[in-house]
Amino acid sequence: MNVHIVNSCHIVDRKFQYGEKILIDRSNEQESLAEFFSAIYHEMKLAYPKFFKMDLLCKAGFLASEALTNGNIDKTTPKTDMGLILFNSVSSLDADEKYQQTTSGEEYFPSPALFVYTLPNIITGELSIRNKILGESMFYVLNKYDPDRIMEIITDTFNDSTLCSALCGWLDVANEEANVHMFLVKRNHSPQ
Amino acid sequence: MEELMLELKNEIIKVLNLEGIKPEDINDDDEMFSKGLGLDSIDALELIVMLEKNYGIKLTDPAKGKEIFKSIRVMAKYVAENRKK
Repeated sequence: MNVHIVNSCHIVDRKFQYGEKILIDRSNEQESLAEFFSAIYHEMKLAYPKFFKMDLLCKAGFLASEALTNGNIDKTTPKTDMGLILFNSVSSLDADEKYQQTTSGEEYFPSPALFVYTLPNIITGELSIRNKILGESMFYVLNKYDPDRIMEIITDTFNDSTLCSALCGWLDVANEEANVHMFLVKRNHSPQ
Repeated sequence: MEELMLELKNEIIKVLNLEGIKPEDINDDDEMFSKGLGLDSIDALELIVMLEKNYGIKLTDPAKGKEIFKSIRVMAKYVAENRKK
């Protein structure tokens, strides 16, 4: 294995977990997924107004990536040796459905703000801008969550590139549920 | 006009998801783009949709938005003079 996982962040069952530690547990709250994400944003004391314009997939990835990067990477320096390798099984379904609602029915007012999120890889752009990541970025849509396949793709990517680190992981957001497992991955130093 | 400006402020906050911003935070003469609210080109498109949906105003030339969305006061004046509903 040419890489190792530095830290991880998980968003499942309305819980926000960093490594083994559950930072926020709102599983008993009656709230939408958007409200849950807003609660995490405020709890983390983030200051990035663009967050509120993002679709739920980007919000999920953004929150997890903030937990992984804050204090671990310099967000102000452009990084050509850092990349993004993301996966899910539902693509941008949530944004697609919301956009479709604005184009059907009696009132036909397609929303530009929703339309711009009707691709899953928009999140790679959002995270690249936020963290000044200029290395390779990719978003795979797989049939199902398959950790072995995901790790294989990540290690292959590191083998074929000059990446030193990457934000990687699984980001499924649909039907008011999030299933997020993101990792900060770094290349192992070659033995001297 | 005051009432329309307040209505526009509330609607802009809603459609553009300007969380944490209240109508009283938006000055009537502040520039809405680049400075002021710091809106972007997607926001401009969303405002064009809002004008049509709420007031029946169809902007055929998106470039005109730059002029109309200069400030809340300018926008309210344009809406008052051109609204169909």
